[in-house]
Amino acid sequence: MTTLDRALEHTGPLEPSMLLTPHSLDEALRLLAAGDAAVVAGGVGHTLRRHDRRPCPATLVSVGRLPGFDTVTWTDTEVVIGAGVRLSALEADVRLAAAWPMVTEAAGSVATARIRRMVTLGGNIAADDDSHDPPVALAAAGARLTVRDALSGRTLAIGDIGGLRRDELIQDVRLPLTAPDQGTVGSSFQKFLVRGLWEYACVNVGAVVRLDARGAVRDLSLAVGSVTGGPVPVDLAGLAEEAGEAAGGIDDRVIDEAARRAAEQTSPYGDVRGSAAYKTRMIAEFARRALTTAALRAAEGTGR
Amino acid sequence: MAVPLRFRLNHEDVEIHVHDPAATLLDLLRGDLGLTGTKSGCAIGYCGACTVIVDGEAVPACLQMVGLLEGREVRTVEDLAGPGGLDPVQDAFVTCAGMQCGFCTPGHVMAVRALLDRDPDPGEEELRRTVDGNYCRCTGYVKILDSAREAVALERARAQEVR
Ligand SMILES: Cc1cc2nc3c(=O)[nH]c(=O)nc-3n(C[C@H](O)[C@H](O)[C@H](O)COP(=O)(O)OP(=O)(O)OC[C@H]3O[C@@H](n4cnc5c(N)ncnc54)[C@H](O)[C@@H]3O)c2cc1C
Ligand code: FES
Ligand code: FES
Repeated sequence: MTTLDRALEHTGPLEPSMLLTPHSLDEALRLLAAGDAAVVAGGVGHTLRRHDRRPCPATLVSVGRLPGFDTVTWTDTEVVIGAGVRLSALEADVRLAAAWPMVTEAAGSVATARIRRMVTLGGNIAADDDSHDPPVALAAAGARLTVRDALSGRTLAIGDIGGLRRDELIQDVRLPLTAPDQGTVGSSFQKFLVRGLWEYACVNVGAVVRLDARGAVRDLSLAVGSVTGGPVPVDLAGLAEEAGEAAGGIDDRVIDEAARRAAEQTSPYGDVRGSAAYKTRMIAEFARRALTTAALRAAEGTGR
Repeated sequence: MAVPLRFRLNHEDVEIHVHDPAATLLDLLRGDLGLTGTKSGCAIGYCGACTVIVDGEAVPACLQMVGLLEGREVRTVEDLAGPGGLDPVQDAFVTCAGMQCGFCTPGHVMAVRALLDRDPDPGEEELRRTVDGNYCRCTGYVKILDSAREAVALERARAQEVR
């Protein structure tokens, strides 16, 4: 849960930080390996911490402008998004919007346009905040994070971000692509704003529907954010098979059952955006909307 | 220990020594450089009153860490008026009475300025998106949007004059 308006915990003068600006990824990783240092990318999260007088590491290693860190590259099988890509750039990426609309929708739903110009995808994910929007979409999409330390690299699922070590950084985010002869993918991100205005979500849901080349449902996926431990992937075991048998795509019964499971398997917390009970109902509703839109997009066959 | 920071501020190269590179641009502008045209409303990114232009993009100065500005270009509202008078965007806000108390105005003016620098002929949707993220507790936004539309017209007229 994110609270921007908490009462200041400590009000004494702030200890100044040291900011290091490496020129390459390797140099950044060496600096991180040296000890009490943290990555700074867009700097928005660190600035909020500082504002709230929450403890900040003495040394910050700036990675937001490292060469190659803010590029999006495409192969036949995946799209690789650099951790330094700003959410404003992601939101405006037309090719990504065609392949994974849910990801551009989630990026475009964060805060305001002015803030999205500063926030990086890597910073948004690494903050490990259950209310953040992009991780919900990425979890539903089955994205993988490429993580590096000075000596080696590994990949993490979005849900494992809590295991990111201090000496590691996220280098990029990888989304799978489906070959045209393998069927189609539709996805949708839904963010419920109680006031109808930009802010943190009351609930946020990402959904993916994969159809095979004949149009039968091959796979369904749902992830829910703004809940304890979020984003939480919903266990939809057996539902894709049930839907796949129904001619003409996914029917309402399957969507209702998926929405029911989303509500049942998640634990929202009550806050200014609604009570836990209210949010549980909203999770079902927005899961339904996300899956319905994702199914329509998959049927249209363009990802949209 | 103060560290040197070099960037361009309102078309001038500046080199200053900052005590804390994690401090915000808002504090630097208002507290250290005396550029108080940029307003401090919430200091956490919500109100937009502190909006300045960094590398051509309108961003809240309260979220901008100064240390990340090395080698970059910053413009504040103080940069807009010149010997020839007010900037067309400022003129538009005056003409349309796009302000009451005026606290939110520098943020709106800088956001519209950045938009026009990128796209001299923005559509209505783009203007509305530009105003978003900048609270105004006085006007109800109608006159702010009128001002933004007028700014587009004045900018166009001025470009034609120059030609
Ligand atoms: C007014 C306001 C409204 C907001 N609304 C939303 C919203 O609606 N939805 C939403 O999702 N978010 C929202 N945010 C939060 C914002 O997305 C986060 O603060 C985000 O973490 C900032 O990213 P950054 O790149 O600026 O962060 P930084 O401050 O640079 O980094 C944030 C954290 O991530 C770490 N980090 C950064 N990059 C990497 C990397 N490559 N590898 C490893 N660790 C890294 C840093 O060490 C730090 O712990 C809002 C913020 C504000 C101020
Ligand atoms: S003072 Fe920066 S957004 Fe409010
Ligand atoms: S004119 Fe007073 S806040 Fe906008």
